Amino acid sequence: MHDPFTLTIIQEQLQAAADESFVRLGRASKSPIIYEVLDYACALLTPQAELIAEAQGVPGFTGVLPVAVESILEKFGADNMQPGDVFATNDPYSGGGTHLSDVCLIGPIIYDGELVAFAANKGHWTELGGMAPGSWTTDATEIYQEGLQLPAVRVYDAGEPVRDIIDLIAANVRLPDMTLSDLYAGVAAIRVAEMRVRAICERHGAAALRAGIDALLRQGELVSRNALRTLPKGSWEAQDFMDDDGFTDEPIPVRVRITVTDENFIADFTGSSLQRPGPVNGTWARLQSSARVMFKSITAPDYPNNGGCFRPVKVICPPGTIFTAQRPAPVSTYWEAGATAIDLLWQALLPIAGERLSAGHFLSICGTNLSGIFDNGDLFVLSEPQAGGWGAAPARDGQNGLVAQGNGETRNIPVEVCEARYPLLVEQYALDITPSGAGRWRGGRGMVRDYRLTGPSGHVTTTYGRHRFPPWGADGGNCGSSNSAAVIRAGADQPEVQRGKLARYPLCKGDLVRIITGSGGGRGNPLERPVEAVRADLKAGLVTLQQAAEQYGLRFDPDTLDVLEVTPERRNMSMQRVSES
Amino acid sequence: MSADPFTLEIIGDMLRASAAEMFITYGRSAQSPIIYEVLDMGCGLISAEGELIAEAEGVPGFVGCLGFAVREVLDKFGASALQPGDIYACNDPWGGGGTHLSDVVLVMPLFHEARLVAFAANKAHWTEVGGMAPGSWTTDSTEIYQEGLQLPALRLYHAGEAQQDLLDILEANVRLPEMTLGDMYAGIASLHAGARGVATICEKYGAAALLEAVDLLLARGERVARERLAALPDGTWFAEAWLDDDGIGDEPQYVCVAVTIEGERFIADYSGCAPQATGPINTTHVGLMVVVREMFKCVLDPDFPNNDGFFRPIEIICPPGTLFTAQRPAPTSTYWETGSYAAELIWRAMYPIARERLPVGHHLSICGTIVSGTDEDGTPWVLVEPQAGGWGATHQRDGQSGLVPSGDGETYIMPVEVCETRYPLLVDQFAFNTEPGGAGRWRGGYGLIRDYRVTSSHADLTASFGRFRFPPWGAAGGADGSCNAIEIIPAGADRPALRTGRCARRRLQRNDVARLITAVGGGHGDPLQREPARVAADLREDYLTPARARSTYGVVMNGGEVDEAATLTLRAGLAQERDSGA
Repeated sequence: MHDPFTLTIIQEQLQAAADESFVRLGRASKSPIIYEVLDYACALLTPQAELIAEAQGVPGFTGVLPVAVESILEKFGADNMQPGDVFATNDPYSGGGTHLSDVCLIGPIIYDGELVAFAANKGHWTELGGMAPGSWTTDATEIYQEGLQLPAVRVYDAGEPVRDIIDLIAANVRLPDMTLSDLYAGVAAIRVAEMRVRAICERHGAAALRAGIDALLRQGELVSRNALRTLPKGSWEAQDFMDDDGFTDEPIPVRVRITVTDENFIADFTGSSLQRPGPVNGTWARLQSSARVMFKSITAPDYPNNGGCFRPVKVICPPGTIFTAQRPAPVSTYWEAGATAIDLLWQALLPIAGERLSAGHFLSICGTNLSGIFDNGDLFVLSEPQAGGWGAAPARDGQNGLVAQGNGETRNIPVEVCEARYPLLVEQYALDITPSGAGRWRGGRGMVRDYRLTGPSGHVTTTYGRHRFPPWGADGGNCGSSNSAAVIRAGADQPEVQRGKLARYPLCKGDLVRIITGSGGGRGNPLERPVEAVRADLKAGLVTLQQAAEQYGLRFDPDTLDVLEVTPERRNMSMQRVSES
Repeated sequence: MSADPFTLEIIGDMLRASAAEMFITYGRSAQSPIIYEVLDMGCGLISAEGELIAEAEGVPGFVGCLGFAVREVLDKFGASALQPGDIYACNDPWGGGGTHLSDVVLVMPLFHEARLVAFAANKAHWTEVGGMAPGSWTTDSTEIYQEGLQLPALRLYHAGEAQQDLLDILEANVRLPEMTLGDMYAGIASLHAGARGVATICEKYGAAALLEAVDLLLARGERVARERLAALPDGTWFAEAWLDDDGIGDEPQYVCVAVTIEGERFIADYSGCAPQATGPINTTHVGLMVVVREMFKCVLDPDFPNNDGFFRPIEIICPPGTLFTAQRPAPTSTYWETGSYAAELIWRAMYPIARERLPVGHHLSICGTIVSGTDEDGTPWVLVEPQAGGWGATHQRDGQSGLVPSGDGETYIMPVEVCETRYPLLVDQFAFNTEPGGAGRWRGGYGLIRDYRVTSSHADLTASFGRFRFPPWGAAGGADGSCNAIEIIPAGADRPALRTGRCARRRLQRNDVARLITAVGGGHGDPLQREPARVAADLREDYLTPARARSTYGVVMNGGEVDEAATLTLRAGLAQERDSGA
């Protein structure tokens, strides 16, 4: 029997080990998408593949690492693992769960001959080969076009790198120096976690470690079950559309039915569209992540994630849908389906957890790949997500310019880094004030970012969902605005093209790529927004006089910002409220 | 102690027999029709230093690559790190691959009493190695990374043990893993056949005798080559040509060679060729060396058993970064379009001094064709094949009809029955292409027309038919041949909607027809001097119309017989017309 103090210390040490892994991976990688954007996650897992502790940039990876560890266990067997082994998988249909660019590295932690835990991480490696530089693209039709597939293979054997596998990776990627640095950084992250967990065992014994982990998972489960009991019981549904799959203009219908019981939180995606020819498909492991993320958001968002927290979560979805695509469906922009699954759950849960949830946000990762050559002919690939507008909260305006929910704690690439590392000038980086998202509480503003190409030539690939179906408003708030990417040729002032998805659209020196992300949905009737709040928005340049008049029912003096006129609709609304009260 | 000459001869023959056995083993056990039907492969035994010592027939370019692949393995791992039972895989076009990623070389070091005595190696076109397009090669790739999985001399088997993780990666990254791994296992069986042959020699005569025989074979190869070279006149011969385009742009690409013979030296200088292309028609330096060897052999002594000693006199000059010496990461998946030109340039340059051995221009392009799709149940299928076409006339014989191009060597085309059984395709037509072209005292051989009708809901066609714009050349007054072409005839239509030389994943619907047309070869000599009886025979075979017999050959028929007098008169008239016109 171990005392609770020791167990708590062990639990904190486990969390610290995951955090230290995270820091080390970020410091060692050469890819800006890892060290700047933090598009990765590190975790410790039990020998049975349950999450113990994690440090994450990306919540979408939460549900994925356990599946990845399961796939390694199933293929190699715990008995065949040795200290120092590192396994890699990026198979989206089994272990990887996302797209090929996100590679899971897994190291068994063995103490005194006993498998006590796994250290694992999953990062977005900048280049993994395939038909397009940066590996993911919007016009793939098969997984074989999307990069090198690593189907649960041993990359380190008892501490020694497996030369042939590493050579193979180096040969098949466009930027081997960067990609191998991502691999080595991931291995370093595993090594530090391994060292810390072994130190716990040395100090307290493996039995104490096991007891600490068991207690932690039980506690996680308890926290979840307690929160679950406070939710109303019943079923809630939501339906929506994804824009398209990049090949046809056909919207993709999706739906969910959530059932909350005393014991379980069940998310049933049956009835959603079949998998599509384009790469917007998601896979089973990522769907788990989506359900876990939303469950956590409405139950105990502040409690650190562990596998116990998710024991009540059940996901139902037949194989072969847009959320559960089967090999060889393309998945390289999987986040479109993954984010849609989250947004569906979000919409369905709004009636029972509205106080924890904002209105709809720009949602799409707005993945952007700008590639091309430097003057000396060397290749560059800028791969980054975009920030955009969030929906209004129950009693607060939406956040401006924040990364999408699916991107969690990640950041975008700073302007200075862009300009220093790539032949690009960022000519504009501003809030987008397209009129939208009006409400008692206003949606947050999206962003406008202009990249001017200063190198000889390049290509831009974008996948921006919610281009055709803008973020939703709630409780009478207006919907937000759409995401889009535009190309404005050198010397021109109008875009040559403005779309949600672009595949390797060719650029010449001096061309400008304008990235516009959506503003979030509003909440509550805009006519109820206080005059002071509208005036403050006017001062800040976040709404126009016209929008104030049309959407908020307030005509302002352009010079003094005094209210000149209150529209009849707004007056009626005020009277109604007075009579109601 | 030296072995007697009889023993050394026997060992040489045993080596060749072992190579032949490797070839048969590969063909019998491969899964891909392009290997077992087309024989798109090469097998050989290589010396411990990486020189070819014995080969089986097959694709000459493939056999030429084997020594380079062995040297890549030796350079990367070092001879001392190799172990019995090791098997290495290589398809790097810049290393031992030399062609495109679909052609994978397998290499096995062979030991006798712990001493490295030789290598067994083979190279074959595996149907699928992943990449952006089903069948892996395509006409619209712009980087090697799009063209399939790259295997940079990897140890697939270590001391007899499979490196399972590597095989798993191979399996995961190809569209038809059963076929690809089947090809790999067939290749391994072939290596073992070679290993058995070499082991038998070593057991019977000893490793020392084997090594002595190898040295002798190589030295003899070199001696024969130098003798043949010395017999040729000294001088420099020049040839130039245009390639259609690179598949991405529309610009013809200029290529040229100057061949110099100086005593026992042979120098092929390709300076002045177009820079490497954006599209996948590029060849690498290794690929260039291989095709120069092919032509060197053809011109000097085609019957002498091949070994690398024979090639020692060759010197090649070509700056890096041309169509023939493309640098990484240039795409190379239709490398044959340039490789065949590099060979043909030498052919054309040396024609004046080697016409006894060489016909005039032929359809040249491999005319690589991929038809792919998925079955009703979602299973992918991929047909990959070269096409046969018309060869040029020689100075004393008509050209061969319907023969694979020089670069394809001893390969075959896919039988109609196999196509129709294995793929949802009907071959509506497989006929000679007798369109005008290649007239001469000796006429060019006829190309072929092959119609694939799609019987599934849809399929995709990728094809690279060089010589779509520039026909095979004639000589000595013989006419140029005709061009290779692909036509798409939509279901129900009676004329093509498209005629082109290259297409990438062109969607075909049910009952659409892909018509694959290969060129008529070039002619040799004045058509008006063709024996009238031969014209009459061509008329009987329906190769010619009476109108063309008259207008092109000046032959007048009367009741199925040649009208000698009328023919003489007409020919005199045509000749006069031609001369005055000139």
